[in-house]
Amino acid sequence: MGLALFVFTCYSELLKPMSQEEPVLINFKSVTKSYGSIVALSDMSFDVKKGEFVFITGPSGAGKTTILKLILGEVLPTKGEVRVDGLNLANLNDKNLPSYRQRIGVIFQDFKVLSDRTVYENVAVALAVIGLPEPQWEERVKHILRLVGLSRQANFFPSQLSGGELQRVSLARALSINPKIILADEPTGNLDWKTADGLMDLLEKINKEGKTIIMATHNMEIVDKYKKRVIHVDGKKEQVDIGKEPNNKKDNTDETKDIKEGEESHPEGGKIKEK
Amino acid sequence: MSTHLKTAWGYIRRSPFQALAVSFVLTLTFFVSTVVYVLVYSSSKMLTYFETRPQIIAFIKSDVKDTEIADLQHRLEADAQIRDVKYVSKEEALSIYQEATSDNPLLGQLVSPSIFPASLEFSVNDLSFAQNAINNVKGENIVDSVGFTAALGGETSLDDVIGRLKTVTNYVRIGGITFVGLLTITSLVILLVITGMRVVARREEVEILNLIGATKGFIRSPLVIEASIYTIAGVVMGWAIAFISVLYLSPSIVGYFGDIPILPKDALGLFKLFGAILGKRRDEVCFKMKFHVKKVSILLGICLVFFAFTKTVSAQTCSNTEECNRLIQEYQNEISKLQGQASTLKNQIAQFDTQIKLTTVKIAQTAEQIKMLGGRINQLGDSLAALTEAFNSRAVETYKLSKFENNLVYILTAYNIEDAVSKFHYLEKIQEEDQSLLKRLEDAQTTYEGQKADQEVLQKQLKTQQANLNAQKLAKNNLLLATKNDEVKYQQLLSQAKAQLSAFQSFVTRQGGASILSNQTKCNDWGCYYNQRDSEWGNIGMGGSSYTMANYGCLVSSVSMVASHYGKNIKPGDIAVSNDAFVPATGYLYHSFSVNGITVSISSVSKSIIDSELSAGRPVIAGLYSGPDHFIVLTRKDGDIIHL
Repeated sequence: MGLALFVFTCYSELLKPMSQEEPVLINFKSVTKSYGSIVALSDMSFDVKKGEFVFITGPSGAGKTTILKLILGEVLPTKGEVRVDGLNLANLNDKNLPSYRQRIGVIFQDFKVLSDRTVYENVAVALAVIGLPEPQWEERVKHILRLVGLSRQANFFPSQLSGGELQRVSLARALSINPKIILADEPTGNLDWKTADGLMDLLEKINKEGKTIIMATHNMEIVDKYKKRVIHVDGKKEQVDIGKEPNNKKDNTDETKDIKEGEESHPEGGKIKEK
Repeated sequence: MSTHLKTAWGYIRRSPFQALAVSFVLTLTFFVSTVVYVLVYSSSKMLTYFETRPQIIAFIKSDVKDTEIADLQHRLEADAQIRDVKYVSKEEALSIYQEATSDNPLLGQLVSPSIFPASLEFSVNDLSFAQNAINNVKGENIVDSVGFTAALGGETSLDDVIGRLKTVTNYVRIGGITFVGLLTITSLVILLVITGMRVVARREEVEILNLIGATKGFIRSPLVIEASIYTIAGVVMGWAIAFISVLYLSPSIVGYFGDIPILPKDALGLFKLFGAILGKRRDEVCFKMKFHVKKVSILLGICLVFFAFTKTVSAQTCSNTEECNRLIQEYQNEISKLQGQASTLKNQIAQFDTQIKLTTVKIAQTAEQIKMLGGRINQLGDSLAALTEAFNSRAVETYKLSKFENNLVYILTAYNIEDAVSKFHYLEKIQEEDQSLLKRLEDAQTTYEGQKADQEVLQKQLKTQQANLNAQKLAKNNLLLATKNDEVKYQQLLSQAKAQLSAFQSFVTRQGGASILSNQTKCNDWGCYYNQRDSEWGNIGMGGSSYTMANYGCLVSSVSMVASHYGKNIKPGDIAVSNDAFVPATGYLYHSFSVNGITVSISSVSKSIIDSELSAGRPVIAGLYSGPDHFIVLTRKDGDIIHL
């Protein structure tokens, strides 16, 4: 935690804060992303403040994952600008990209676990990546695995795990590095309702600890249930930034709205309003 | 790091065959490159040996004073172009020769240090100085010849040897480097392929690690470590195998190359060399190529002394010898013929004359033989001297060769393999020649000694023959003296002799024969008693006749006894063998004769004188019975008693 903070602080010094009064963490400014002739994201603009929990919704292929990829620096915008904590990601290079990513925990849609390593090792590798001294791994890994409910499966290989368990391995790995931002790409996609609910509870708890969470999902039940700020995207047209009440989910798909409620609810960026 | 090491170890464990393949290829590569390195090292060492140690050897003339040699040595030591001046004495030369011919110790024993040239050996700092140094040293009065390492006679040079060595070294280096290069490329490719396979297999892993913020170093480290493990394993194994092989083989290799330090001689040195290989201190084996090349034709200055030893046994047939043989035969026939004729004085004289002629001829023959033998001995002596000289010079050549050559140089100085073979053949021939020379030397010595002995025998024979001749002449004279060349007197003498002989014979018959006795001689104050039947002379035919002392020698014995009384030592045997004391072929003693330089006169006197003579203390020979049949010696008379 301390190390992660330190790294973060270092970066903060390098960055030019975009706005003094608003603790904006993530800023999309007219971002267009196209893969060749296919436009995945068109003229998208939004801000995410520190400590926010944001759902990104939209139909498949609308560009939800692209947004996450843009935040992670996996892809760069074709047009526009993505800033995270004031840092223009277009300025990232091979040298500072890894340390930037080390501040972000990602729960991948397809898990992206290392198939030839155990659950324990999959989590530990993330700790190795951030350069945590090896003696501290065991305690941290065990704690995280307990948190996600995989203590018993610590020495299992991915092939021995169910989809939900794999999802939780991915989550555990993301959480283990104590990131400031958590990106979750359809984290409940492979989970039954109960498990998904448990996961969501966990994410919410983490969010309460001050982590900024951006979750892409098309599971509207969850969106409805947790009543967070929603950014709705439809890659072909425009995106709608929906407030934390996604009650009108069906209606909003073709509209462009910017609901500020969520923002209002978390003026400090570290707190979220009770649902 | 330990994380990466663990990860790398995990990779290796998961694909052991790839790991083995890589390690083996790397092992092979490093083994071969180590061996090539050693080859390059050795060949350059060899080249350096020949380049930097072009020993020039100045052979000193044999009769040079030590001070002169020391003077030259000091001058050489003062020369800036010259280093390592060393003096090799004659004694050291002999021991070098003995070592060089240790397979045939006789060769070393036959020679003395004096035949070997002392020498001054030195090296030049740069090969370009060599020719100049050789010329300078050649100009010295005390220097006999100058040799230049692989060559004798100074007309040849080491350049060709070095040129050849350079070619060999370059081939080794180029070939080795090419081979090692190919192997290295191969193993690198294999290493890359396997690493690539690793990367491909880990693409997903790499992607994930990328996404969770792993640095490139983090991702690559295990792969690099894995490759390093293969490399280290290959290097260590290849090195170890090569080291052990070379360590195992080095005694025989070092032994074969002898003085040439192509490999360190001890294990520690080898280890250092191999350490240098591991440390890639390649510059250590780099050797200077600066080298002033002069083309001087290679010629091994081996001058084989072809000694034409022809056994020039005199073909001159001794016509004198034949003539002598013919004459000897002739005279012997004549003597036989004369002996078969009537016993007349004339005949007897003729016999003497023939005998004298015969003996003269024999003496001439012996003299001729001695002369011939003497010539042969002289010849043999010359041959022996020449052979010894030849052998000595061969020994010197062999010694010089041993200072310069070894088998390797023969191979290297040969223009092609046939030449190399013929050089070996040539060497063998030289050795055979040495052997046959040695054999001839030994034979010649044996023959020489045999002939010397023969010569001594002949000399003795000559002396005897000359003595015989003198005796024969004397006998003839005595006969002429006794008979005054009168046939009547001769016949008279002959009949007296016959009468006496028959008287003696009858006495002996009466006495019951004359058996041979032994140790009868007794000497006292008076003189000696000699018994005619003593084995010392009893069987001698008196004067060369058939009448033996035992039967007829009483008078002779008596004469000897009387002589002994007067202190004259003429034993009966001495008289008996003297031809000139007896009437030829009769055993009848002259009344006057000489034996061993003592002249004896016998005169017949009347019985009346006996008493007076005996009274005067002078012994008397008395004849007994009427013949007289026997002779005795009367020594003294005490009153009426006469002592015999």
